[in-house]
Amino acid sequence: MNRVHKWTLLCFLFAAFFVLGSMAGMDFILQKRENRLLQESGSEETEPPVAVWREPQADEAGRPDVSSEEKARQLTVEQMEEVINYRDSATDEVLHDPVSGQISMEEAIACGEQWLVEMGFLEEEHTGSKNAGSGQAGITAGENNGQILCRRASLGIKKERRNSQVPMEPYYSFWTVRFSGGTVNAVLSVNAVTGSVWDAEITLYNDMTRKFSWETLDLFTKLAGVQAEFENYVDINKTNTGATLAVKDSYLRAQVEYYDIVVAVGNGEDWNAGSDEEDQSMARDDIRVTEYYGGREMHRRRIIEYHLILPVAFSSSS
Amino acid sequence: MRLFHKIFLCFVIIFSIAFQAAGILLINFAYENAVEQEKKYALQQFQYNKYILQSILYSEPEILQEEESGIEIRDDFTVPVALYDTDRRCIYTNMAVQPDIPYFDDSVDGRLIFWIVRRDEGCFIYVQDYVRQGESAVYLVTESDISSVVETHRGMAAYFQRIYLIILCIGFPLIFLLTSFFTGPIKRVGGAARRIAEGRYSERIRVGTKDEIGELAVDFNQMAEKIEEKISELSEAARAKEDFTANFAHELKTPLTSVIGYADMLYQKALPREQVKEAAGYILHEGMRLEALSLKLMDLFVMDKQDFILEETPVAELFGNLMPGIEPLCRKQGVRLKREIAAGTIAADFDLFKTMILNLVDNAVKAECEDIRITGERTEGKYRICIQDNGKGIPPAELGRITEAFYMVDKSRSRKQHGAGLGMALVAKIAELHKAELQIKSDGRTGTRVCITFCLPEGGRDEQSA
Repeated sequence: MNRVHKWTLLCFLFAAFFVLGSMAGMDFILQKRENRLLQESGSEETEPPVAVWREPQADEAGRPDVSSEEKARQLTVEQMEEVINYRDSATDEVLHDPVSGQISMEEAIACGEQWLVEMGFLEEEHTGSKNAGSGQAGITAGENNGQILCRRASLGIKKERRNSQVPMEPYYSFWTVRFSGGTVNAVLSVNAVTGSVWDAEITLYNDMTRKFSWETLDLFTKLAGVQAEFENYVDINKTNTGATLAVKDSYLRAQVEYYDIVVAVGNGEDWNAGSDEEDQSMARDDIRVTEYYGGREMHRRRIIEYHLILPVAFSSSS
Repeated sequence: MRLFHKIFLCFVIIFSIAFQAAGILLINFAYENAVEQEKKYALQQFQYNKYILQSILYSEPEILQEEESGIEIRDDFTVPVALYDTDRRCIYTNMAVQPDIPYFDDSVDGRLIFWIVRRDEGCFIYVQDYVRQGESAVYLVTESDISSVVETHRGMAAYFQRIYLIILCIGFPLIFLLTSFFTGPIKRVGGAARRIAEGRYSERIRVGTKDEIGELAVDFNQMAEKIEEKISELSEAARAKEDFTANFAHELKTPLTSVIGYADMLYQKALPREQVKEAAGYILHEGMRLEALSLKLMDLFVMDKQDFILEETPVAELFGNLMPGIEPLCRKQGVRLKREIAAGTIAADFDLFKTMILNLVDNAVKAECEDIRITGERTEGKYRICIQDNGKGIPPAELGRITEAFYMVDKSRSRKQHGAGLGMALVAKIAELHKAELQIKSDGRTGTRVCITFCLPEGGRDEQSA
């Protein structure tokens, strides 16, 4: 082997050694960093994603506003539009503790129960908060006696990823309160500042005849704290299962819709493939089938949803 | 170690370091981000489960006052949790393994305690805080499994190393080829240099690129060309010197042989007066030839060594001073001399100019001509002096060599006429000293025309343009 070939062989050996050495070095460095990373401990301050509530300003004469407390709990229609528009565009939800000016969990639950009572879904004596701490609520919740119990309440704010570091106004946060009882279940979105319900999903196991009506939509809008008059305009959909109420001089709309969920058992044939009159009648807009094993209906429940919404055109233009 | 090996190793080392460093930075960045995301997710999970616990404590506040062995709690939690009472006693857990709590912090300052634990079964982030709901207070600990992140990281590192090896497997031959490609032209330059060193001066490199190596090849070729030219010049000079020495020896030997022969004859024998006279005549003739030879050689050597001062002189004046030397020579040989000199000034040394013109006229006379015509004319910043005869002329094939020392077209005739073959060499040398161009034209039958073209000095040009 001549000298040049010896050098070539040595070069290849050195290159191979360097390659393997660099791989081992990379593994070693990554292992070291992993060990450091996976031994991390400490405390993390959870910055609330919302700012504290600003107190109402005194009037022009400098006198304190006597109704400031009431005004503090009210939002203008424009503010409500902003909030709804933002919620529609946001993607993530961040849970957080209440800040100054936001209602507590107890208050949110109480507001939710009050709303259910005022909307006629619940008798006042059947609210869980009346029995909270009595040792009876947890027991009665599972019984079919009209008692209702708060299963879960959490305070969160919808956030856009790109604005995740910017603190929002406190009225952008909502308590999500879930109630369950023998005859009714409810999921309510309670505004963390006003305590009013902006969205609701009610599941009825009894009283299935309840449908939407002018009065409930009107009442829902008032209880949501909309500080404006209503236009004399209700848009009812073709199947009479939903309606929309317009707020005067605003893009804001209140919407209600209902539908039934049917659970049935039977011989396994497809529901819509049936030819008898009963099957055809079940394939309507107001019935949503979740499970079907034949033609015999086992269980039916009615879902009623209330929402404050903005038209799509307004949302996209904003 | 050769350049090829150095470049190859540099490629491998730089590539490996760059690839691995980039890999470490990328993987580590991704890993840290993933762990950070998992940490945020764990904190959110803690917050969510804290609300679940608070909801339970709100609706069932008496749940914490149950039996000593632990409490029954509805399992709504989204992650494994552990509850500790204010005495730091675990009252409820659905975790597979209870964690070691670093410390309990019962301050309500919005800070959550977290720590990461790696065990055989996986890697977990634990978050702990003090939770109050009404009269109830517990420490809540949540467990978030981040084993998938660790596994992903390890998988990423292993995948990166596989890619690294694959790229190297492909890259090694490529690096090898590239290195050969880059060093190949350098090798070719080295080979060409060695062949030139061996004496093959016509060796050249084919230039294929315009990069630095291409420029090197061009420079090398230029250098080789110059060397070849110089070698050629040196060889020519050496050959000329050899010829000169040989001619000189021959030119010395021929008259000396005659001189020695006649002298020996005079010395050895008592010769009649006529024969003595004839022998002495030969000796005198050859002696004169030797004298002429030595004088011209001396002129040639002197011209090489001496610096001459060229003075601007009107050509007519130069020829005016020359004619007394030329006219008797022509008259003696019965040659008609005609002179047409235009006005003009050239920079010349009179003695050298005279030697040059006399030699040319002498050559014309020796060529057995009948007429010699000397003309001087100005053309575009130049002054041309021509001497034309109608003698025997010079064969065209010989024209290129007649300025060589000791070169004679007709040696026997030339020697008879005391020629030594140095006249035209002297003329060429003097023309060169005057930076003049020498042109010799002849068809070998009807005479010869010799022209010397001088550059006009600045004043002479002005004069012409005026």
